[in-house]
Amino acid sequence: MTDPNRERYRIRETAFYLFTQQSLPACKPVLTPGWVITIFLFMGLIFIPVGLVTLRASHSVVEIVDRYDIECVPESSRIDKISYIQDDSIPKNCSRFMKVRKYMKAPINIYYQLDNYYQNHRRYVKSRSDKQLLHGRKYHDTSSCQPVELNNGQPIVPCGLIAWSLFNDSFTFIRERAELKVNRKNIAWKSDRDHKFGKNVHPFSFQNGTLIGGGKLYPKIPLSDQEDLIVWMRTSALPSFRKLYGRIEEDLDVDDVIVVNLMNNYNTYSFGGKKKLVLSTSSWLGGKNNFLGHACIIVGCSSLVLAIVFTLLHLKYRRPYGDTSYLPWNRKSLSG
Amino acid sequence: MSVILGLPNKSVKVFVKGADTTMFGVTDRSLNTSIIRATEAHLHSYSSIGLRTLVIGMRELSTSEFEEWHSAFEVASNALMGRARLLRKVATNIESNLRILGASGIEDKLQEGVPEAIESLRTAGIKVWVLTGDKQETAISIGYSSKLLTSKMTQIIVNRNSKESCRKSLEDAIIMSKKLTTMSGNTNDTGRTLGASLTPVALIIDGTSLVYILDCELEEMLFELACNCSVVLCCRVAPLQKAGIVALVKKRTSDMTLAIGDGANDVSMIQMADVGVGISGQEGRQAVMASDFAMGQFRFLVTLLLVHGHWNYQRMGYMILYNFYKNAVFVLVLFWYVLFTCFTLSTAINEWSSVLYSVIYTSVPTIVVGILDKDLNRRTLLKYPQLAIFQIARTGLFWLCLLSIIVAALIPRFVVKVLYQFYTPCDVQIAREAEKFQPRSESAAVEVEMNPILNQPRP
Repeated sequence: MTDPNRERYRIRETAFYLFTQQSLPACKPVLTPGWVITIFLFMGLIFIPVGLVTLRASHSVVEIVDRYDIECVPESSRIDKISYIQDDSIPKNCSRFMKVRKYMKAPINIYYQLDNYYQNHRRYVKSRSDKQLLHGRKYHDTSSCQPVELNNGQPIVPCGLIAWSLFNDSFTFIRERAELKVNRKNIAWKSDRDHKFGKNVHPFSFQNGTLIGGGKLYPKIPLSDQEDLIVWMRTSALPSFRKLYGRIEEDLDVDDVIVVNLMNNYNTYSFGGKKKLVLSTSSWLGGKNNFLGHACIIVGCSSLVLAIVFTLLHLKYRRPYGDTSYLPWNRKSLSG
Repeated sequence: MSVILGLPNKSVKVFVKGADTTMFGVTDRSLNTSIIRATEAHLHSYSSIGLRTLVIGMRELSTSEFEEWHSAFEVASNALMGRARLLRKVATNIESNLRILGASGIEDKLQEGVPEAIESLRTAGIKVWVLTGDKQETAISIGYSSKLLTSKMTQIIVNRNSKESCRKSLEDAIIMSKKLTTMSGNTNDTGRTLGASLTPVALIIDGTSLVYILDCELEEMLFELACNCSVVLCCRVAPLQKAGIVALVKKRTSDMTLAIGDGANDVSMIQMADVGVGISGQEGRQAVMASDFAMGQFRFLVTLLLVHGHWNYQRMGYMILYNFYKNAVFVLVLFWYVLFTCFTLSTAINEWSSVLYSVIYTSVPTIVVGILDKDLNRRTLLKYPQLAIFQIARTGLFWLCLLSIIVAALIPRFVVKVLYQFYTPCDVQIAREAEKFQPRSESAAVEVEMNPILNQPRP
């Protein structure tokens, strides 16, 4: 073979030549009954155990939920809860009892859950100034924080509706007359504490106006240490959400009764919101959520059902693989 | 076509070549009738074996005739207006009273692989019509040798000289073709192709008849007749008539027409069809320059249509549906999230991600599928041309299926979310209700949201 020919044949092996001549090898899988049934069986056999494992993890999470916003309002004021909550002269103490049904291993997370609270409303989400949170009063362009930007001409730090509506209910936990120690540090994201909230930024002229939207902040503590504020500023994506309040570092046994002394300060009555207190352990999967387990089991079961159905159909209507009499131009002569 | 020669012995002769019908029209009949008859017989036998025939004639010109012609020719070739007509008149004057010298027959060999190619195309359900400038017998014999015509076929020949006789001939032909195609018992109406394939009918039509048929109401009859036949063979077709036939089919059906040719006389046909293919060969590159696709041999048309055509069609359909699906997914995610944000404009997907969604995130699979997807092997497609039939109806069903999947997957969520909406109305609705019942100061907090940004909060 002469050299030019060899050159030509070598070119014919290159990927570019194959690509332009449309001769690249292609995989054209054919769905034979055997393959289909096998694949569905495998899917069923994989998804069902995974679903069961996830369900088990989700069931192993112990969760106590207690809605307190209706019952913490005394009977006499229940008709007009809004004026009750806005009246500063009435003390807002409340005592609730929570019974532990199952053994809860430390650390136990304490969450407050708000329902029908649209933290994902667009104007609400935009009403903050991240630069000001990092740099403080030195940063002047806080127009995105309107209308909670200035107070009597003085800039508000931190500005914006999100900070203004800070959640300010507080909880203390007592078990058998001894107070449970609640760890309120390290509840915010580390990246938020280090990089989004300034270490030298102090609250200034915060919640000083006539309209009180939520809690107040200590002016002496810098923003990077105000973990409640940091947790609150991480706006949630859905209208019903939980935010971490603190952690209990002790185990709770079965039939323990926890007495919760809470201050019912936050006004969710104007818009029909709900407040709940949640004590929850966590597992390798996270909190209590059965959705993943149920979804996996449903998928696995339906795959198994399909595998069985296809097996039965295949056994009933058996025909050899590659039977050309079923090609459309042959079938017409079959059916006449 | 003629040439005037001056010979060394000072005599002037004009030599003319042309097709037999035109040549016999200008010969001097009185001279040699026996020669003419013998030539006609020879021509007939040549064309029966598939040779392309020409007749050559000659006349001696006297000096005065030559001078006359020469001056007329000069005048005509320098004329500013109507030059072509004048030149033709001069030529017609000189080409008369010729003496037949003889006839020639040339074998125009079929290219390699042409019969198989035509058979593959016919099996795939593509109707093949042949338009040629040759005589009828030549065309028929070439049809047999290229397997366009088979001995099983019934031939209907339309070869008339006037409009009325053309009309009558077409009517008879339609009746006969209907009788032949329905006689096989196949009376389905899902297309004329099926009816014709069992008792095939071949239509052979002459260029002289086409003169009377094209561009008038007989076109409709011709179309109807041609659709009942499985093969149409047109002989003695002029280049413009070729284009006329293609236009006839194109205007009346939504089927795609493809014209393939190799000479300059095919250019108008190639440009008239939906797809024009030029074969670069002996007759120059005119056809190639006017075409959409150019190839070296006729048999490559099979690969083009059955393999690449099928792959392209399937890939395009797949890609279009893929595009709809991906856009639907994107939009529907945003849509469902809106129900949770109380219909404000918070987006579930970042703005930059939205912009880059089609550009980066979902572009590569679409492109890769659109370029490389092969549902059938090249060999399979060539071996079973019927598979290459483009299934348009199936694609419609596929689209419907996709739509129904999207709708069905989302209805339950929609229902749940609507219920949720009614059960716990969002704060704007509540606040609006609350405004009616409560003093304004308490709902001022919500009013802050609803008023324009520049207002101060009301005390």
